[in-house]
Amino acid sequence: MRVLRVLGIGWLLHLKIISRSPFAMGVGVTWPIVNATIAYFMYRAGGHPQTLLYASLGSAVAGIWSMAAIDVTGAIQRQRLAFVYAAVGIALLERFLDAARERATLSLT
Amino acid sequence: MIVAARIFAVGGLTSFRALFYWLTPWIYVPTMLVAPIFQILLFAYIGRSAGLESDEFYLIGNALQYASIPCLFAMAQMVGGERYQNTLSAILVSPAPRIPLFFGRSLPVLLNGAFVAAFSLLVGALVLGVHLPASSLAPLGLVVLIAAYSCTGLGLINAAASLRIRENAVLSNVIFGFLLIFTGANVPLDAVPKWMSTAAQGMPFTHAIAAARQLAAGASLGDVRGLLGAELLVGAIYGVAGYALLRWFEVQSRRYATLERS
Repeated sequence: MRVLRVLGIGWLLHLKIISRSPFAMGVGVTWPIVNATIAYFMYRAGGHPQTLLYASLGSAVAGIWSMAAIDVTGAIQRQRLAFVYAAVGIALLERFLDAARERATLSLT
Repeated sequence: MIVAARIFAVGGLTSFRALFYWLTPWIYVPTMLVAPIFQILLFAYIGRSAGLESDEFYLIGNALQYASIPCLFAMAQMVGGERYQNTLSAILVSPAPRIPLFFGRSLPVLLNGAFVAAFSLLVGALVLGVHLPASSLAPLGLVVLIAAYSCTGLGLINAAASLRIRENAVLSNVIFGFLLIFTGANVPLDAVPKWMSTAAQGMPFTHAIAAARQLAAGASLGDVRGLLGAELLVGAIYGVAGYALLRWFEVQSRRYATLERS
């Protein structure tokens, strides 16, 4: 249950952060359009207009790749820069300390 | 004169090294040497599937166009990064002459852009099995240098914009995408609407890519001198406009105290 909660809240939090990032939104909007435009002109000029559907699908899939790849790496780097992991580490430390107090294991060696 | 030369050379080199934070130079390999090969391969295979042009067409177009990554991003980050780290205000408050200050930062970027494009061209040719005549290699090297120079001019405008905007990486990405579509790197200019091919004449790489393709097809340097002159002119116009914008935004940032607002 706790794992699901971490996953759910983590997902929501990251979605909120990314949706407020001009970089993520700018790249996410720009690249599928760029890829689709190039594919459109290439297939039209190449005399294969029937493959335009595949080209547009490919552009959309490439957009998913780029968004996922950039945002996943960006999320970890951003949190590292923002000292989020330090905060997570402190929270874990507090939990261990509480557990040690409850079980009186602090002085056990 | 010596002071200006020091600002130009030492300042430019230090600023360029700071771009990588110098934690690990290996970050250079995937971003500058591996990524362009994948871009070349991607469009070469799409080109084969579309039945539009030869591998050589996409190799030359994408290798040269990829010089825009170092030229645009490095120039923007040069100003944006220093602004973020609060070193730019210390530089701009000094009486250092601005021409060597800004153009000194452009020179390593230009050389790096040319190296990336030349590396991509040679490795891409090996991977795709494209034969480039030995006699065309030296002229192609010159074309690559001119293309990088031209895009560094546009990079100066991008750098000036970084004095005003926060997300300069978004702007660099958008410009890179525009160049990919408009410059004829992947789509022949006679296959795009007229307004696009007209707009392409004022963009970096358009003339350099056309010249490089002619050289690879056996033309001499003299045959493409018109194209190279046009590319040099485009680069000079962007360079002068970029420098003017940098000075304008510098004055504005002093007046409105916006330099350190990030």
